[in-house]
Amino acid sequence: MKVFIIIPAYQESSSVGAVVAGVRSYAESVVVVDDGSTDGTGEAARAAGALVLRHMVNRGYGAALTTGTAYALAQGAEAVVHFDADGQFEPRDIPPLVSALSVGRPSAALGSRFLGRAVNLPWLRRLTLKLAVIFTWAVSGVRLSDAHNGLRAFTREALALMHWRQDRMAFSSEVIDELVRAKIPWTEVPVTVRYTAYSQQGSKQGKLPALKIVKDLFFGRLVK
Amino acid sequence: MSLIQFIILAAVAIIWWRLYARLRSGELTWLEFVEWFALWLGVAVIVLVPEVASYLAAWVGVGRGSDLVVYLALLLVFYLLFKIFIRQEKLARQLTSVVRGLALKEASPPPAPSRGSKPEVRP
Repeated sequence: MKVFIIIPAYQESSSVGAVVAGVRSYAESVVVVDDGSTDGTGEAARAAGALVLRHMVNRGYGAALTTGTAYALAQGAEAVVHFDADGQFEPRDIPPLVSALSVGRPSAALGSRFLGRAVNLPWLRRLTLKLAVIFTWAVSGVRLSDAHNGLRAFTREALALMHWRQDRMAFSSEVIDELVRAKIPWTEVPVTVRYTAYSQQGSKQGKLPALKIVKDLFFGRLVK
Repeated sequence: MSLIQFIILAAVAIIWWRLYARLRSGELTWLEFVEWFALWLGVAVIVLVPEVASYLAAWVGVGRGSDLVVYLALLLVFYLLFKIFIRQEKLARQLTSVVRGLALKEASPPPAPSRGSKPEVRP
């Protein structure tokens, strides 16, 4: 299967190279979307062997993933995997995720750290993630074990049915909404998420990211 | 006419003049012009005949005319704020599509592997 891995990256020059090197052997192509970084993230990714798409200005997590996914589809990808640039995910979780997809049909595989392992997960983050699970259940009507996990995979056929509009972190909620709307079969796959001091800097999302997500979801629905 | 009435009416006149100029230059549609004109006409009427506000206030069940004016003004401000939020979201999406278009157009491939070496590809 022609698998493309998409990695959105903003100011991740210190981690993106190792992440690209770690996932390279699992895919036909690794695409890093440098989301307007000023610290040499794009160069580090390219040196590690990734194809780099560059957003001239920062547009957010969802916007970067949508750009990368559009590129992968244009290049004939049969499956697309979303991965993070901060080193939280394990590259070896990619093959089980891809094997969980039904080839040639609309299908999605969602990583779950609560079915798998969440290493050093801070209690406040655990609480927010659990609230997100309840929020997703209430709003999208889907009962997931982990609602905001950035490790996920889709078949080409699934991507053709989905329409993503959220530019920022609300993207993760929108993905679930779109799976439901387009009636795409999905499955959860256990993955490991490793929290490190680096991945926990968290300053990029600003204060109260959860509230921002709810606000984005609300206004996002009002704009066609 | 009191000084405050004069100041507000002068401001309304300037706003009407600006609205007309924007209509002529095509920045406003006729419908938008009429909406804004009517809003400021309402302000002018209340300034000239304040009893109108008191009468309307009594009619809708609000104590004083000036209270009604404040409530309506607040509602208007919230409505405008909401419209600005929506417009900003639309602009953000348009900006994203421009940025995305440029990124896809200028896609740069990774450095070519050295001769003889094949990248290992696992399914």
